[in-house]
This record gives sequence, structure tokens and C-alpha cells, in this order.
Amino acid sequence: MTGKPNVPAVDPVTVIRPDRSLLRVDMRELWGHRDFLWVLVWRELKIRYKQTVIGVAWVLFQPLVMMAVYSFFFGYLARLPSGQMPYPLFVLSGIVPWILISRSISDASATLAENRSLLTRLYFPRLILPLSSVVVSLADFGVAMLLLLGAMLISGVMPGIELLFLPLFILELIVLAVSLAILAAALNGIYRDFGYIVPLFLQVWMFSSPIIYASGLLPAGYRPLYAVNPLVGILEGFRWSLGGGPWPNMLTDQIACVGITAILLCAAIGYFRRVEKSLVDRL
Amino acid sequence: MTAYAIEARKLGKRYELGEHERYQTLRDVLARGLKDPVGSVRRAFGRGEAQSDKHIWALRDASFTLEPGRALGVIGMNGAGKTTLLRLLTRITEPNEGEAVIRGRISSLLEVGTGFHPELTGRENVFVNGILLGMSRRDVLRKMDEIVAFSGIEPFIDTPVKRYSSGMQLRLAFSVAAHLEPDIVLVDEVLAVGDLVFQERCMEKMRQMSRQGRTLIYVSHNLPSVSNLCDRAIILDKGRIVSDGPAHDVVENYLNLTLRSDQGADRDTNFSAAARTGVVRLLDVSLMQEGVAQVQNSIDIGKPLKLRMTYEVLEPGHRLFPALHLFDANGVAILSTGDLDGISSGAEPTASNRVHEKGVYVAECEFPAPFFNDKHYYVTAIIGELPDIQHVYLEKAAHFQVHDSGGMRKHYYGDWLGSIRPRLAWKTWPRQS
Repeated sequence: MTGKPNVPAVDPVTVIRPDRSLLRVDMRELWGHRDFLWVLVWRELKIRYKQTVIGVAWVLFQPLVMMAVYSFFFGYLARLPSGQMPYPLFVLSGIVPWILISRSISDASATLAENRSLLTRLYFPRLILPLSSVVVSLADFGVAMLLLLGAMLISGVMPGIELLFLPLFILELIVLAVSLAILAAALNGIYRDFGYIVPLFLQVWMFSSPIIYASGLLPAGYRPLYAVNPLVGILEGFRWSLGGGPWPNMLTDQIACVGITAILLCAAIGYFRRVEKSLVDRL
Repeated sequence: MTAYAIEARKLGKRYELGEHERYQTLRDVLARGLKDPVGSVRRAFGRGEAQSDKHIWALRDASFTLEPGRALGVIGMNGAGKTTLLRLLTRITEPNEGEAVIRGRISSLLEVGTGFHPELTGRENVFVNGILLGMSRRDVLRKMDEIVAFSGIEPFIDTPVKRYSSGMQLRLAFSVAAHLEPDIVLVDEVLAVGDLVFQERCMEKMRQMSRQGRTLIYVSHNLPSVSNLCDRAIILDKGRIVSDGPAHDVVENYLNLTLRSDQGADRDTNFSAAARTGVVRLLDVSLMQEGVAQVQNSIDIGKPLKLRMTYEVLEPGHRLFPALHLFDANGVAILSTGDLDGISSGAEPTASNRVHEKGVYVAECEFPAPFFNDKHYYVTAIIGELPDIQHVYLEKAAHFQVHDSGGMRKHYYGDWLGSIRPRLAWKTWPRQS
């Protein structure tokens, strides 16, 4: 047709019909929206660093303050054992992965409400919103990881061959963060008051995970039940790959962690897909 | 054979009513869960939504096709399902039944400004907005200068948008939208936002897109713009497509539909109900051709038409004048006229505008022939008192279809442009050099 500007030879064909599948995620469509995800993350980071004067320093500030407080109360006053590492380093190596999880969940639980105007005016795979919460938190996580590695250098703790497994545990961590972000977003999409219980939930979970104390502190009888918490396997793995040392429950921890995370991921996607159908009609 | 740009088959969208609030609260769910734990779990993970009795079909059985490059107007009352249709086509919400096939990239002008953030600069917002609306990163960067130039706010482009006036924001946002290159454009009530200049810009942009061969779906209450812009139109009524055809015909059809629903069965009560004061009441408005009342509302283009108003004065002592407004089927005002002789000119008052006694009066206004085009016309009847009192004001007091017998046309048989077709004095002569 004359005058029709650079339209591709084959127009993309979209078929709109009621979708009854729950677990099917159109990966190709998700990939096609990678620029969309990228620009949401870019916007979020840009805004954040414009609004705070100290900018990037803020990302370092939070884990450092947490490390100082916990080191004083639990390391210095309560004298909690910390295995191979000095307590401050021990607690920091727990705080850094925890920040990814807690940020992802709290950001994701607000993301549908915050992006109401996008949801009611544009089509895009809705999963992108909780995913962008995780990616933004990953940026913080990356900076905090540098801090952690710097702290290790300063305190002279040199990782051994176990460090090669670190990417594996980071991957587990990310998948867990993604699952929970999706779940939190979906729950907040349905229940207006879900946001109120998120901080409480995070606090309980933090103390149920080996962040400020070593899992060896627990009576041996509780250990299998403890490993149901998928963060246990991840945090143990984190410290093991950074500081070495024995890890008696390695196999059971890992099986529990991977299994539970997989179940969480499927449940989260299924629930999210169910919620997203009626999401815009509720807004 | 060209494939359709849009093919909708029996599209339907259902909304639940009543108990389902916009949001639920966890507190309520937990309370319910304690009373009926099994049922709650089943509800939470049940696959299909339970069909509640209280629902409304915002759209049902909507089937239509649209060829590439054509413009389709969508008209209907509020709540007729127009916005639902657009939301389904843009995939913002999912249909409950039926399907639609869309060939080409679709985008809509109602997304103007989506994702704008006050803290970001104009340039940064163009970047974000462009990508959110479906441009690639490379495309946005390539077109950035062009977009900025088109917006006309270059000096402020690196200032945070929070310091912009709302007009500047709108211009910037529209500039981004205007540089998208979708195959199919959806427009929902642009004319409801922005100032006149902006609205005119939107209309011009849509005309341009249409000329470029893009497919257009235009939703509006503004009927003239629909018949102006679109080849075809559909009417939605209570979620169903009740009319589909050439835009002009559908717009007229729509006006007739609303006219019919406006007018009660009893025309007499309608006339007297138009009285706003107790001074005068309208008894009748009729159409006369060659001394005969045209009860079929069917008028011959070649004969003069007299519009006759009959009214009864109930309270003496007012200087009344009859007047009327004439509209075409698109709701465009063509003229207003009144029996004002003597009131404004100071000449001797005539019977119709001097101080009225009690009694029944008849006023006639004559339109010469030829005057009308072969169209449908609507008459608003007014009885006023200077300076600005309207004792009677009745919209659509009469309507009529003018039929072209052909005798006035000579050898031209196409559509005659214009709302009216008076014969004006023409003279043509060779210029002496």
C-alpha cells in the first residue's frame, strides 16, 4: 500500500480469546517485552537516585547499619557463635542475600497498585511487574555483594574452591525471590490489606532463618523441620561457598530448598495467572 | 484477497455485580475461613470462577470485521460497551467468550502520557514512555530529536516534568504517541481532554494516520467527527451491536433511535411539557407544503416549506417572539431564526412580537425552495421574551427528511456537499482585456 511507512512484510497476528490455562507462561512474549522490563527498572533506579541525596551510598548504608547493630547485640553482648568467620562478616553474609528477598517481596507487594495507570491503559505480560521488583532489588544486591567481598578482603577471610558454587546459590536465591515476588504481587492484587502483614511476615521469617545466628544453634531434632524453610539451604550454601568449613546437612538442605522453591514458583505463577484475569476489572 | 485487520467473533465480557467488591480484605477472608474452612480453600484454588447470578454483560455477541486502512466509528450511550470493546481489543482485559483476531501492531491514543514520572526530565520521560508504548530502545533514541522538536518545548526538555504546565505535559506526551507507527490505531474520546488546539491536533493526526493507510477505530460521542472521519460505524446498545453500516447512515440511524426514545407516545403532552414558565405553552409544531400538513415528515426538495408553530398565551402582557433552531442529523446547528421584526429594529411591531393578549397564536416561517439538501433535519422550537427569557424550549420539536426529486440537480447525481443547498445568485462573464 502506498504511503504506509516501514511496516514489516508480515504483520504480527494476535488472537484474543478467553485463556483457561494457569501454568502456561508465554516465554516468547515475555522475551519480546524485555525492553519494557528494562525501562521499568531504569525508571525506578533513576527516580530513586534522584530523590535521595546520598544516592548509591544509601544501598551500602542499610546493610552496614544492620551489620553494626547485630554485631553489637548478638556478636558482642550475646556472644553468638559464628563458625569460621568473625561475627560481623558472618552476619553481613546473611544480610546481603536477605536484602534481596525482603526488598523483592515488599516492592512486589506494592507494584500492582503503584502501576495502576500502566495496567489500565496498556497491555503487557503482567508478570513483568513483580519481575521488575526483583531486578531492581538485584541491583541493590549486586552493590551489597561488592561490599561483602570487600569486607572479606579486609578481614582476611579468603574463600576456597567452594566459591565456584556461589553462582548456584545466587541462582537459587533469585528463583526464590521471583517466586515470592509473584506471590506477594498476586496476594496484594486481591487483598487490599495484604501490605500490612508483609513487614510482620518478613520479620518472623528473618528470625526463622540463619541470618544472625548459625543453624548449629538449633537442637538437632528440629533441624529437618528447619530445612523446610528454603532460605536455610541458600544461606548455608552462601556461607559455605564464601568461608568453607563443614556442612553436614548439605544434601538434605539442598533437596528441600530446590523442591520447596519449585513448588512455590509453580503455585505463585498459577495463582498470579488466576488473579491477573480479573485484576484490571478490580482496579 | 486481503486479510481483515480486525476480525471479532461473538466477543463477550461479563462483569460480576454485588458481593464481589473491588478489593477483598484478608481480614474478611480469614474470618470466613474460620467459619467454613473447606469451602474457603476450594474457592481460593478453584479453577473456573463460579458463575454468579448477579452479573452484567458489558459486551456480548460482538462480531464485526474491519479491512486494513479503513476507519470504523463506534457510537453509543454511556455504558453501552464502547470502552469495554476497546479494552478487549487492546488486551487490557480478557474476554469471557468469543475471540478476536488482530493483524498488525495495535496502539491507542488513550495511552497518551502513560508512565510519565514528575521527577524525570522531559527527555527521560520520552524515553520511558516511548518504550512502554512499544517502541524499541533504538527507535526511541533515533526519533528523540524529532519527537522533542514536534512537541515544541525544546528549551525545557531537560527540566523535570513536575515543573511543566499540564499543557506542556500533554504536548510532550502527544508528541510521543504521534511518533508511534502502529498499523491499527484506537482512539477513545480524545475530544474530551485538552484544549481546543490540542483537540484539533488530535483530529488532524487521526486524519493523517487514516490517509497513511492505517486502520482506525474511533470511539466518540461527537457524532459529526465520527461521520467526518470514518467510513463505517457501529452502534452499541446495552453491550450489543445494533447497527453497522456507512458512517453517515449509522449516525442518522443513531439520532433517530435516540429521538424515538426521547419522545413519549403522546406528542401533545410533550409539547406542553416544554413550557418553562406559566406564560405560554406550545400546542403544535407542523410542516406545511402547498398548504397541506406533511404528517409523514417527508418533504419535497423542490417546494417551499412552512414551519408552523401554534401556541397559547396563558398570561397576558409579555412581549413574546417565536423562534426556531435548525440542526442537521449530525447535530450541527445550521441556523437560528425568529420573528424579531420590530423588537430589534424599532419598526412597527407585528402581531407576533408585540405585547400578547391571552389566546391562541399561529406563527409561520417559510423556507424557500431550493433551500434544504436531501438530508434529515431537526427543529428546536422556542418562544422567548427579550432580553433572554425562554418560555418554551423544545428540542426535536419536529424533524423531517428532505427528498431530492432530481429536478434541481441538472446532470449531477453524486452527493451534494453541505448541510443546506440554497440557490445563490451567480454571474459569469468573460473579462474584457
